[in-house]
Amino acid sequence: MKKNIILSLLLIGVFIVNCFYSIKAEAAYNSEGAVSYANAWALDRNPNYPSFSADCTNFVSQAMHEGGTLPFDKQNGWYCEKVLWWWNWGTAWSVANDLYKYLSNSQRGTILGKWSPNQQNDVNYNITRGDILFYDWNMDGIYDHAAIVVDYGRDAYRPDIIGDLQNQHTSDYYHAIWHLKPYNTRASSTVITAIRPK
Amino acid sequence: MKKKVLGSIIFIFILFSVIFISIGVRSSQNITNEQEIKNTVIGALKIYEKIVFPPQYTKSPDIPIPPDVVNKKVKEVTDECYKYFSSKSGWLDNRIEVFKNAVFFEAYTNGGIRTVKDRITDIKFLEINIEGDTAKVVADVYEENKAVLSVLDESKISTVDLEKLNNINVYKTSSGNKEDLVKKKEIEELVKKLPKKTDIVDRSGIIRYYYNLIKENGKWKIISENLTFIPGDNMQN
Repeated sequence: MKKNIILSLLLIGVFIVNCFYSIKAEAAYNSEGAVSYANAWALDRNPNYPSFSADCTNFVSQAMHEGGTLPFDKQNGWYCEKVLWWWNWGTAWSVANDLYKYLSNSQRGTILGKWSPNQQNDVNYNITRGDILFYDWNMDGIYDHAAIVVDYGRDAYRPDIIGDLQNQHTSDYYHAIWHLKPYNTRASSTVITAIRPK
Repeated sequence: MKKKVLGSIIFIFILFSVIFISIGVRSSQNITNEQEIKNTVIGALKIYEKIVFPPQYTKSPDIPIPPDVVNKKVKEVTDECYKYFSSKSGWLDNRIEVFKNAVFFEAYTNGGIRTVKDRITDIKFLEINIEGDTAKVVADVYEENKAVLSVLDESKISTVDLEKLNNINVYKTSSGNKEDLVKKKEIEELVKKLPKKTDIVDRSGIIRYYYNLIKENGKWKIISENLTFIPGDNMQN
């Protein structure tokens, strides 16, 4: 009898552990999916989401959620949902610095590096497709902008520049050089941090 | 009775005069404050114009700039910081460091880009809220900005090399693996060897600034700033 109980308990334990593993597997970041989403919507707005005048972080969050399959995290402000006819979203979903804080938690992301202006070469060996880039335009320690790494190759707007490429919203870019130096009037004071979501 | 009426009229006249004068003094004080705040903001924004090196150094990002020219520029730019930024909360120190590094970035162009021209063409003050010795400002800054950069000269690249550049496909395999890095390195080395040319890029656009200021020893100074790029042609975020 006792043996049966112990065996049943063990089986239940194995089942519970297995459940947790499968939840974790579901929640793992799908970088290729995020890139596909970012490529599909870089120059457009997905009508299934709200869009903002400063849409950069909303776009990155959508890529992480829709393509990257990361589930909403309402408790920590990373979510966006429609309730009846209005939208609810957390600041981590739509504000660059809040998304940075959310992802820089070691459970949710890995900080890959932080690059000051003269460390930003066209080729960055630390970043790869699906990684999230955060830009601090004036080095005040607050991130003002977010984008997603999508490829390595020719910049779509300056094909004579070859390196890691990003997609972004607000001013929409599809395959622009990751450091944005040819487009950024504040290039001399822009710090960039990259995070790989988990 | 007449005396009482006359007295009341004089009293009301004096009262109204005092009220009008104080309103007048206040509004003229506000106008003065507003003008001083505008001057501080404009001065701070124009520091970016001063970062640009003289034309003899901006024909190409590869032209070396003598150290004494760089040091002079650093001094010129950081001296300006003392005029417009508050030493409270470490903002002045932060700005000095940022502008010093900005000069070094322009001087030693690791990324192969150097600013040729930076000019503010217009500043639209959208909001100036003064409360005692503190103020909040929102302003749209219209900036003309050009940079010279070093890029591939495709007219001088062989078809074999062009073919390689056109078919990079680094990420054909699963992202971030060793093969990708090797391929990236190969292409980077190839790009380094290929002929280059200089080209001018237009980075002009509109930036919305949000400032907080305080009155420090009778002068308005900036204690924090936030900025966002207004979408449009050639803009960043």
